[in-house]
Amino acid sequence: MKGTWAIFKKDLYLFLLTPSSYLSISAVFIALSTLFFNQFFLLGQSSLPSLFHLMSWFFVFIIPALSMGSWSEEKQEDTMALLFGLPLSTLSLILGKYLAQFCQVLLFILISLPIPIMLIQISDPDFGPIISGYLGIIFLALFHLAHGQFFSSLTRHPILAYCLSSITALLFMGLSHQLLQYQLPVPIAKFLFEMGLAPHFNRLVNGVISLKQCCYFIGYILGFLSLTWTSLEIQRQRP
Amino acid sequence: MITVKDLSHQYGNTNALKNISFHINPGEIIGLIGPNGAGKSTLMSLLTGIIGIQNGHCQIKGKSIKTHRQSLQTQIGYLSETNPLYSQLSVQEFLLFIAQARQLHHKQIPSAIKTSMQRCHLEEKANHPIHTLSKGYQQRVGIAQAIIHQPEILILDEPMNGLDPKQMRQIRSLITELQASCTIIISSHILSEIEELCPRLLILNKATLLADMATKELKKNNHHLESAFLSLIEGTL
Repeated sequence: MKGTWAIFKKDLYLFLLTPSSYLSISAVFIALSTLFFNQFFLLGQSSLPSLFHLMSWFFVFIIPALSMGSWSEEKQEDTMALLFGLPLSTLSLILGKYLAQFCQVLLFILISLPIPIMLIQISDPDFGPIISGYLGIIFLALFHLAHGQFFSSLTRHPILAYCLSSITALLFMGLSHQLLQYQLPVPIAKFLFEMGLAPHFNRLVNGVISLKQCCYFIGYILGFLSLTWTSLEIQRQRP
Repeated sequence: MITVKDLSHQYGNTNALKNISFHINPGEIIGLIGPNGAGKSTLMSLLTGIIGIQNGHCQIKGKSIKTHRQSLQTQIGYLSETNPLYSQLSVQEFLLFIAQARQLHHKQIPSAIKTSMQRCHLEEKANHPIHTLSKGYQQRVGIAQAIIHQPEILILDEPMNGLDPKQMRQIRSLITELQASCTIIISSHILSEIEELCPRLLILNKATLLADMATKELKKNNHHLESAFLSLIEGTL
């Protein structure tokens, strides 16, 4: 765990050292607030679920940008040899980077907090859906980070990793879409619907926390992290 | 200390190493020389556990690097030819990261950083971001990270890269000083440095171990190591 902690601190510190991190956090806050308050003032309707849905679409493009460099930049800078020369398991390296990126996403989630705080002040909300909604957002972030790490481990080009990860995120977001299911045989349509992110995320956003949703997200996260581990182990064997 | 037997490695269909065998005793300083593409860096990456062993055996202190990679890596310090560093970090921050990743005890870390910086004459640059340092200083940061945990085996790939004559002399005396507690393998194209530091040579050519001999023996018929080395790899010795 000490090694994981060292990788975690290094990656998070490098993120905080970069001025573009602060610029992107500010840009996300401005864009999120603008879109949310447009709905709020112009349409006269806004709720926390709509904030969570807005954030879920932001994540499709932001999280791949955070995860794209996790391995590909190490390869580009030649620092993979430095990491592989340290007495650390591949799992420690993956976990250290994964947790550091999760903290980076938490910063993006934290900057959205003034919006729910304001909504809570002007209404009498039920705290259950707020908690489950944030749980949904956290699961979603961990999910996107996991496939982002995997694609980053496959290439030395961060932009390619970004594209692959964004496409995967979009694919999973769209799998449950009605248009995609139109005219498909019912069992396949049902299978695709359940494989997609939307039904599981929506249930959490609507205040339903069930074992099925947790297993869905945890299963995918562990699956993509295992793929990352396999990819790095293969590279360690045959660079 | 290090026993290598029938070690082979391939990149795709290309042989990087073919049936290499040798033994290194504790406290020896070995010069690993050969032309570009001979397999020196691959051999060093295999010895440090950075890349996995495909064929053959490599034992360090009686333990196979294949099965005890992590525990053996705690005893190995490695400076790679490309000297990879996190250039946004300061020297001190980088060495702190390496010390923590090498899982040194937290009480040992400040003194380990201080000692490695002192040995590599980096104290005045401790708080400078690495990317602002000259190549010579960056090379010294690379050496400092390789010795921070007081390794029993030190593997240095082109340690004199980018150093001026004064810095070379400092690093040479550091290597001589480390010999008391370390087994050292040095790869360098600067044969005069190898001649001065290494009493024994491993000479690689075209992925095979061409010679394992004392430096004096190689120089026996030739006054200069460089011409003796060239004669050997051209097959005229």
